[in-house]
Amino acid sequence: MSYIIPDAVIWTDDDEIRLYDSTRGEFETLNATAAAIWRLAGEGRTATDIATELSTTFGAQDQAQRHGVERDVEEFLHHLVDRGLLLVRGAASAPAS
Amino acid sequence: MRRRADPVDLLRRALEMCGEARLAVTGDSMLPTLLPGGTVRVVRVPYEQVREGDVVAVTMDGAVLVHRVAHRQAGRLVTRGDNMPLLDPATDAQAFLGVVPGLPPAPPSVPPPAVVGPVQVHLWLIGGGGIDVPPNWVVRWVSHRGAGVDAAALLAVATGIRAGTSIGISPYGVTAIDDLGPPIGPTHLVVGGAFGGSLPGGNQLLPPALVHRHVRPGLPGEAVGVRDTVAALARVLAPMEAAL
Repeated sequence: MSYIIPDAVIWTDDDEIRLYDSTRGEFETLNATAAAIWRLAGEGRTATDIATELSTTFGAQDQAQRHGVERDVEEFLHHLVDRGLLLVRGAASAPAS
Repeated sequence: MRRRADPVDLLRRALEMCGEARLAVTGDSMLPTLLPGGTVRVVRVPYEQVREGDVVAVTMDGAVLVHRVAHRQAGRLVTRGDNMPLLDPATDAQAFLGVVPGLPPAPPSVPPPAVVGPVQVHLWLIGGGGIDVPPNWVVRWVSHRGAGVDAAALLAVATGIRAGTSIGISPYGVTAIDDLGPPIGPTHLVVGGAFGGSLPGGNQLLPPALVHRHVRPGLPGEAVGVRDTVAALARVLAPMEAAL
């Protein structure tokens, strides 16, 4: 599955990525790894694509490490979807709070 | 190097793009109207449409303040938290973010406690001297240290004004001097000091809660010298004392 960033999420990509969910009034700053996942998700990449790219970027050396990266990526994307900061493309949008 | 975006930038962008945004409420400056822990909806409206009594979001010192408009003054907004004894510094259109609709009017102010005793005005002058004072007023001079007072001076004032109604006079007082009612019982006027928090070096501004009421000698935020302030107080209070 791929993702889209809701219109209500305002974000800036300077030295770091800062998010603001304007429907909940919440701010969040992403660390380097989270920022990398966010950028790729925002481009419409799937969790598998993102994990593959990060595995290459961070030098995952074997299947176990690549599997660990994929698990972490999926967990983080799930967290963002739960928080309403990402939407699953093609799914119904979350109701306004 | 690009400046790191701060929360105010993000909020401003959200208002520009979406027309409204939510903000978390922190602090107790707007009690009982707004409770900390909740959120408020800020709506973008033209600055010219803001009225006295509206609750607005403005930027101040890099943060967002959600307070109620007390005055519109020369194109600027003077705000105050419903739970705050003093006015905020005025802000202009650049600082304005939006209004918070749907809130009740400001709660009524709580009158100072009733005081029993003969009317006597006590003037506490911080850092002042050589000033004409009505002969029936009791004057006490308090030494100052820069913009504030030291702990001993603060204790002396706090102890001395305990018996009676106390009124602090500063540029950010909520009430104008002309709206002062007649003195009731012992009345202590604290003039020449600035109200606020601690200062570097151990000195401190006068705590806002030191006095029962806050009165301003001029327009909101306007600095008026001690001499002119005392003259204004005498002009307003002397006729009332004579009538009692």
